Amino acid sequence: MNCQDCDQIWNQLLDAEPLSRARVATGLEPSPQLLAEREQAACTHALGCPRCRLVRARYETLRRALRVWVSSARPEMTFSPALVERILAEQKTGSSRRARRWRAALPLGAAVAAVACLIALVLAPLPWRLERVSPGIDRGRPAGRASGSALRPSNRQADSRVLSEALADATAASWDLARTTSEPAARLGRQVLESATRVENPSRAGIRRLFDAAYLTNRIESDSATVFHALGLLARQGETAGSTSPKP
Amino acid sequence: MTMDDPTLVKAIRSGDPQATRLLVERFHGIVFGICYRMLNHRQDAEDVTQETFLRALRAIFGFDAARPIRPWLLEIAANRCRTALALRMRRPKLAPVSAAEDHADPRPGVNDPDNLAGELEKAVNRLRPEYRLVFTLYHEQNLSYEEIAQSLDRPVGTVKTWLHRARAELAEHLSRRGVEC
Repeated sequence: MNCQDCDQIWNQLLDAEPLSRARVATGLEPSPQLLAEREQAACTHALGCPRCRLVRARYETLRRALRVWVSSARPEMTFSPALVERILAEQKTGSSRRARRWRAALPLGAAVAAVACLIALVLAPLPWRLERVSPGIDRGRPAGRASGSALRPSNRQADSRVLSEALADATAASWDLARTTSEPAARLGRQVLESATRVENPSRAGIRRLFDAAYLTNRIESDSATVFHALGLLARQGETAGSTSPKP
Repeated sequence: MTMDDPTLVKAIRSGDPQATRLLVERFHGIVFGICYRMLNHRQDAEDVTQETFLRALRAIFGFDAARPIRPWLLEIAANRCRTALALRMRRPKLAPVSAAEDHADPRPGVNDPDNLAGELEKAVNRLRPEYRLVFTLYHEQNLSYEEIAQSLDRPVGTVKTWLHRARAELAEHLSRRGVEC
């Protein structure tokens, strides 16, 4: 046995204080007989060890003091019966006080909520309160400018002028596009009509002229496929007519 | 009236005033004992005991009825005591504690059993609150290590260490006071 074992035995002995505890019966503590054997071993070790002799003397004193202390009545530790009634009374009044506090706080809470809703309604950036801003206005400006200008009245006039100019530019561009695309189409239509009125059966040369005219109008590419299909049909009819009818 | 813990909790939840009284009467001794040991002041201990029960009764609806009530109440009491001690620490101190108390008691017959208990009582009151609480719960209230650990929300090993240190300090204190058997 060493000094550490001796300390452990003394803690086990003090764990078992007082000896009449129910823990011994439940097996949580060693039996008194086993403890007595361990104590004897610790005492034997302490005889040859000055340090453990001192420890033994101190713990022996503590054990005796503990036995007296546990069994002694301490009047200051006695619970006043009036305190039980006080707790129960406080529990009743406390619960009714809480209920009263809730009832009192309810209208106040409703009023605060209503005011908060009103403030939110006035200050919130609702969609119908924002100006509609064309994306074209912000072209060339730093990001975030559009929303800022929409909210600042001082910039509204400048923005409306820019919007008008952009609208005028877009209108002019649309007219130019329409004119550019319609002129070749009109010329082609005229040539088709002229060819149809000049000869009843279109000759190979007439069909060739139509093809040439169509090739010249390559600026209307989207419509040219349909025109070429129509002209191809006429050309096949013209070849058929040319082969059967006598040459002029 | 005998009622086990789950039945008692159920009765309190249903609003039975007798069940509430039974809870207070069954556990007031241990709760007050712990509060008194922790605070060393009767009035403070009574206030904290009352607060402990009121808090427990308010929180009874969230309490797991399958658990035992005693460790739960002790946990609340220990927390309340710690809060009370922290508040007390913030208050200005009236006078410093005399260091002469540590000297050997010159009175004759200190080995008298009554004086022995009184000396230990003084020594217990000088322990750190955690050590005092563990020592009291174990030796005075007969709680097991596991129950103490559950009440204080600490590992069992920590509780054992605290108890062993408390005993070592008490033995040291008694020796310094000249108490011998």
